[in-house]
Amino acid sequence: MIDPYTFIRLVTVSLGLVWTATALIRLVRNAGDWKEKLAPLHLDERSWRRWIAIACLRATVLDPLNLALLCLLIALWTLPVGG
Amino acid sequence: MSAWERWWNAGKKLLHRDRGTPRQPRSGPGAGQGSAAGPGEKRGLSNWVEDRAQRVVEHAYESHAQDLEHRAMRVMTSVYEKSADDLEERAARALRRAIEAEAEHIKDAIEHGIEVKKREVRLSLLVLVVSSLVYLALYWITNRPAAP
Repeated sequence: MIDPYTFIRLVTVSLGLVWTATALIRLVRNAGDWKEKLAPLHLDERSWRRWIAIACLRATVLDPLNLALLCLLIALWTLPVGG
Repeated sequence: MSAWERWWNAGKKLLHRDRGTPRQPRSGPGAGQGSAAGPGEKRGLSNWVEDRAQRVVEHAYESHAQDLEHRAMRVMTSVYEKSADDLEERAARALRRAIEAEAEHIKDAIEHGIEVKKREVRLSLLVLVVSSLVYLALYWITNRPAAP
């Protein structure tokens, strides 16, 4: 029988993975829209990917609060408790 | 016609004019043309003066038209060049302002998008952290050692 805390941990990890996946999908979609809007500027593919990566980093680990929450979540998920 | 007949005819004409029509004052261009000058002759003289004046004016106009044309051309060219330079400068300034405004607008939109993504990521992480803490607390409560 599965431990309740392990079950909850699996649920939260699954939820995080789903949200991450949907966020990535929306990110790709928004990047496509912006690429169409900024097509007259003739940005090359390399600089475009660089800007997208910078935007992703700024939205996640380069934001202090988000980084703190991420570290806290990883610490909570790696606690040696339960199964 | 002999000289005597000419004098005779002139005298008769003068006599008829003095009797039939009031005497005109001797003034104007026809005053020095002699006493035999009639209305038709006066009209011819005024036509001659008019033609002469027209010829003089035309001559003066033709002699100065070329110079006036050149001067007008120079003035218009300089005015056009000044206006063209001014228009070019104004157009360049307006275009630069429009490009700067558009770049600022794009930059603001990108920053707004990044801020929105930050909030979404923060909310997701917060939900995960809170749920993890809640269930960790529940786990601690359910598995805490029994009191002695």
